[in-house]
Amino acid sequence: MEILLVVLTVTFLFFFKIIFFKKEKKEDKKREKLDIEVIEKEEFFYEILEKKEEEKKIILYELNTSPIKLNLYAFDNFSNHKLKKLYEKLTIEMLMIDEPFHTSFFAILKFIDTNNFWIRNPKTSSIIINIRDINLEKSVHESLKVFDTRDIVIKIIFELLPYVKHNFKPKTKQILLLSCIVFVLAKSQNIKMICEDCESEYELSRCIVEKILNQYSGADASEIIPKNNMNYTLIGQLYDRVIHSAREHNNVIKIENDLQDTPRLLENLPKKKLTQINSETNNVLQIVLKV
Amino acid sequence: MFDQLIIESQTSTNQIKLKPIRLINDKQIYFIRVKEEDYVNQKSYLLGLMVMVGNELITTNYADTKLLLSEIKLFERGNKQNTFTSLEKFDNDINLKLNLHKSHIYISKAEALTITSMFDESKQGVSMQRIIENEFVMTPSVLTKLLDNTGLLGRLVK
Repeated sequence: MEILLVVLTVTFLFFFKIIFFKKEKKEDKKREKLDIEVIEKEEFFYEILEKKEEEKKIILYELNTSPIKLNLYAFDNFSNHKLKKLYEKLTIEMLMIDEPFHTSFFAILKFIDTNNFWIRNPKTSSIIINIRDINLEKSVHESLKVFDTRDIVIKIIFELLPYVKHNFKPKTKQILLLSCIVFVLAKSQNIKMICEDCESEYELSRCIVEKILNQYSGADASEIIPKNNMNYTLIGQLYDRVIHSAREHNNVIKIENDLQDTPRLLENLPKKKLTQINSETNNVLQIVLKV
Repeated sequence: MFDQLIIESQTSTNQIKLKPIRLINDKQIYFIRVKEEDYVNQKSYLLGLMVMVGNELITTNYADTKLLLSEIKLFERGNKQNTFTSLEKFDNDINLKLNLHKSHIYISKAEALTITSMFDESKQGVSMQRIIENEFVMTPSVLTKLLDNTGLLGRLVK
C-alpha cells in the first residue's frame, strides 16, 4: 500500500508539473507574442518618425554651393542709411545688376546723397525777412517749409517695388525706377543751378538724363524722361500720395545770391568690388533658385 | 542744412517766444514782440519788436521799427529821404506808400493814427530797458525756428 501511495503521489506530482509547465509555456508564448507585437509596433513608429525626420532634413539641407559673390559698389559710399538699404535691396534681393542700369542707378543715388536737394511745399506760404547782419548790412532772406528729396525718393521707390515685382518686364522695370527718381529731382528747387536756362520740368528732366544718366542713349534715354514714359500717371499718383505724409523741414535761403547749397556733379565713380553676400540673404537666394 | 537751426537763450531756464499783436486786420499789419519768459522768478521781459505786413517781416531791429513808427507818425510832414515810406497823392488825397520786397501797400491817415496809438498802449507796464541795453540779435535761422514755433510759418495758402 505504501508503495502504491508513493507511486500515486509521484505520478500526480508529475502530471501536475506537466500541466503547470504547459500553462506557463502558454503564458510565456503569449507574452512573447505581445512583446514582439509591441516591439514591431514601436519599430514601425520609430521608422515613421525617422522617415519624417529624414523628409524634414531633406528640406533643411543647404545647397552645397560656394558662397555667392556679386560685383557691386561698396555700401560705404552712402552716408544716408536709407539710401544704402535701398541699394542693398535692389542689388542683393532683387538682383537688378544688369549693366547699363546698375551704374546709372548708383550714380543718381550717389548724386542725391551728396547734395542737399529740397522741394518747396506748395500748400504753405513762405515768409520774407529783411534783416541786418552784425555789420549792419541789409539782406533779404526767405524762410519756408521744405521736403527733403531723399525722403521722397526713398518712399516712392519702396511704394513702387511691390507693384513692379510681378507686373513688369525687367527692362521696363528699370526704366520706370529711373524715371521716378528723375521726376522727383526735376521738382526740387536747387537743381536749376546745374541745369541753367531750363525752365519747364520737361527740359530739366532732359538735362538731368543727359548729365547724370549718360550711359543710356536713343529710345531708352527718351523714355526715362517722365513725360514720355508709358506709366506717367502711376508716377504722378505715387508722388501725390507720398507728399501728403512726408516730413517737413524748415529752411532759409538768401534770395539774391545763395551760394550755400550749390549742388555739384560727380566726376568719377568708385570702382566695383566682388562682395560676398551674408548667410541670411544666401538662403533667400536658394529659395529663388528652387522656384 | 536743415538741422543747423539752433535757438540761443541767455539762460537755460528762460524761453524765448514770439507774440503777434494785430494792428490792422484788412492789411494784415502786425507788431511781433520777442519775449523772454523767466519761469523761476515769474517775470517776462521784452527783447525786441518787429513789424510784419502780410508774409513779410519789414523790420527785425528795435531801432528800425522805431524809425518806421516815427515816419508813420509824421506822415505828410515827413522828409523825402524816408527809408521805408514815401508820399503819394491821388485825387487830392495823401497816402503813405510802404514798399515791400515785391509789392507795396498804402496807409491812410486813420490807419497811421491807430498804429501809433496801439504802440503807445502796448508799452504800458512793460520795461523797455532790456531792449535798449541788450537786444536779442536775430539771425535768419533762429528767426525761422521761432516763427515755426509760433505757427506763423507754414500757414496754408488760400
